Amino acid sequence: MTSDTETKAILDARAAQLAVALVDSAQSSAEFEVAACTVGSEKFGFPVKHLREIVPLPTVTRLPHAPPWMLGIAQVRGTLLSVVDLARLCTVRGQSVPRHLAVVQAAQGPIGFTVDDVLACRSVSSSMLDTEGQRADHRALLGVTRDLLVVLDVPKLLASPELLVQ
Amino acid sequence: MRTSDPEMTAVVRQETAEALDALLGLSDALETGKLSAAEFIKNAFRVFHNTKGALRLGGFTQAEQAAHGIEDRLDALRKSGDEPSAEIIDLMEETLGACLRAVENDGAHATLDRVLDQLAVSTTTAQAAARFRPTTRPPASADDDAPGKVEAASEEASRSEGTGSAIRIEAARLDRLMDLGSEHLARQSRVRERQVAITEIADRLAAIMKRDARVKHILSSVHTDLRSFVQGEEQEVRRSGQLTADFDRAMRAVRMQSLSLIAPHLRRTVSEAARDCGKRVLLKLDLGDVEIDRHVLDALREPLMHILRNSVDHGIEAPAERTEAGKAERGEVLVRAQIVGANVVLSIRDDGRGIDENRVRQRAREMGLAGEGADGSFDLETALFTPGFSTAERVTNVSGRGVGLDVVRDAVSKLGGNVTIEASRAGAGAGFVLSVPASVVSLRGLSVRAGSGVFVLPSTHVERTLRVSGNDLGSAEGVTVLRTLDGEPLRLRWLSAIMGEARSEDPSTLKVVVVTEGSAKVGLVVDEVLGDTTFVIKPLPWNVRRLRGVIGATQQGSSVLALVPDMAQLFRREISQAEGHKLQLPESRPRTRILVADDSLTSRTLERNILVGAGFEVETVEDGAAAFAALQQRPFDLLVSDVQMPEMSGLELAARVRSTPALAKLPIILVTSLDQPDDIQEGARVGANEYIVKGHFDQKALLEAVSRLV
Repeated sequence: MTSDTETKAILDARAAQLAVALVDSAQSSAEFEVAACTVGSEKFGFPVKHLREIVPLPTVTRLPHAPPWMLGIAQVRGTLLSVVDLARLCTVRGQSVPRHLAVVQAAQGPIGFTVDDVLACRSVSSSMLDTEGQRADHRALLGVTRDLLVVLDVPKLLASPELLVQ
Repeated sequence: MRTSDPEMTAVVRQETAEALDALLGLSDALETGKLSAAEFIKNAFRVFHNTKGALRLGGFTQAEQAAHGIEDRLDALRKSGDEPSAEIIDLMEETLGACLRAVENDGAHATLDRVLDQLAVSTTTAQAAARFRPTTRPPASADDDAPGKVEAASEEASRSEGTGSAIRIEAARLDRLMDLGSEHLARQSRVRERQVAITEIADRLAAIMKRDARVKHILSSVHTDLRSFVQGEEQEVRRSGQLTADFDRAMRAVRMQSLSLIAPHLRRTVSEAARDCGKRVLLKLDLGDVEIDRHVLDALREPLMHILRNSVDHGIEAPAERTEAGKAERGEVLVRAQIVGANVVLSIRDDGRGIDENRVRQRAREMGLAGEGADGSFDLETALFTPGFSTAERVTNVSGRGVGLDVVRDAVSKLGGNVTIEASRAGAGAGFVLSVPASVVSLRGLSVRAGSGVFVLPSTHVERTLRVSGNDLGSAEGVTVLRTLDGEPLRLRWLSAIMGEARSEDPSTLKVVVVTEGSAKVGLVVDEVLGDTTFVIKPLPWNVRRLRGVIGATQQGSSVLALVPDMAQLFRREISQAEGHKLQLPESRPRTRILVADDSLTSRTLERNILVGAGFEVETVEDGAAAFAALQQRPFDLLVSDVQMPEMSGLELAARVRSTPALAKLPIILVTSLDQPDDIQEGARVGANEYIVKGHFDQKALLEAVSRLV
């Protein structure tokens, strides 16, 4: 058994810890949800706020004279959208077998990026993201988490001129 | 009631027309900030007041009422101190336009009736609102929505019915509804497919039961249930099919708007252009009661404005020039709309100087553009619709930037329509005729397959389909042509090649769809004609700004999308390739004779078909010895020979040919099944001119090699 003083000391220490924890979570308020998906042997995260839905890959119709990363067009809920081969666009390692389509909402309309499998939705805090190195080949990302989840910067991705076919 | 004095009518017409010009000037000045709102109201009030007086004198009672209505509105605005909204300005312009047409039309006109209806509706709330587009006009006040009155914002939607209530719908929601509607239509065909499948299952079950009495006994109740289910399902599908069709029609009706909604924009375009060019131009509109899908209406706005700007800038002469030519000082542009079948045909005519063919020809030559044929004939349309074409010596902000009629053609073509130039004798004005489907909800088309892709060719471009045998094919100037059609050679193009698909092996009979654009005709070779279809064209996704050869896609069947080829572009390329002159079949010249030597029947037949298809005369032999014999007996222009052959190999044959003086110059193409560098070197040593490997053997490679040699 401990004395009252000891008990109080322990409680005080716990309270202090809790207080620190509270301050910590206030600092990491830039926490956001991402949908984690596999593409080839890599993992990509789509910030949920930009994601309209992830659907099983619909039938894709090839477009003539389109760049190789543009797989074609498909219809999702009555809307025509482009199907972009994310593995090709971001030069992903490993063999990608697209099974799902991540439909992202751009200001001009929806656009789909192929992913292999959907893992889960999880929280990512921007302070935990490594923003340097690794995949400097493509700038449209917010950063990489410690467990190597590549978090996409969707607005930047959508604004990149490479995405335009003209 | 009306004056019967034509001279008086002419005066009233003149005054009304001038009032319209004055009003357009005022609204422009207001828009550009040269005039304050208060000044605008004061001046506009004076314009309407004077016009009202003139109309009364002429006995145009209805028109007078309309002018009076506007006067009241302006008065209210003056008192309240509110700014005039865009709607009220549009309404003012439309009112004067309607008055003008009424004066020209014995005092009455449909447009005037509509304007009067609109004026009868209070727009007190309109004053409060900012400058909205017509589709989002503020609602009429509650105290005035009496039955029979058409609400200002949606007069177009409810004109056909006498219903009093109308609602406004955001355009995007309507589009969404249409998207869902078309998906529903597509689902319908999927349901039909499944129904066929289940009928087949029932048939299979019946077949199994026939074979074995015991099985029949066990399964008979299941079979009966299945049969009655199939029958019920059939009815269900039929009923829901009818519903879908009804829904489609209702949807179409909802989307229809009066073409006259576009009138204010057109008037403003002409008045702005006229002012910029220092010309006097009157725009006359005869849009009748034509209704058109709002998508088509939106898409037509730019092309129409473009043509109007062109007419004012290039067509209508300066006042002095017109007077000299004995024309009225003020030029006229007439826009007329008519319904022809399922299409709306819009003609835009001006009474200006017309299109100077010599100038266009000269300019086309300077710009190195196609359009002039070897025989001196000149295709005016081709030149005018070429991207970048402009005869303007200077770039004005009205036109002449070379962003021109090709843009008009593209826009119209996207709608599934076409544009032509009409009666352009110098000095007698020019005309453009646009023909577009009134509704985009469904277009008719021909569904075809080429390679792995399904394509829909708009019916407006499809003339007919043909099956032709290889013997009917010929070659002229490097292009494969079909000889028989109405005596005119028809150029053939493979749709698979245009669409970047692998070109399939051509069978002995080709399926050809004859497509037209204006007077131009092309035969599109397809792999399969799938049949007639109705389709809704959807624009390509936003990130595809421009895609060679395709203008949109459409859903066909369950989930398959079909692409809609860009016919205008197809023809543009076609015409530029043909350099505007008619193809002459080289009938008088003897055809090129080719000898094919190959021991494999398949290779021999394949090569033969390809070469005959390209218009050559072909003889085949089975080995080198027979080939050499044939070469000595009959004249040939080219030898195509396999390398590995019994008796005499291709290499030996080539060597023999080269060492025979009479044949020394005969071009030789060697063909082998394997990519053997030794063969290639040996072939070159013995004097073969070209070498083709069967492994990558394709039609193109052979024909290219042949064309290099003969």
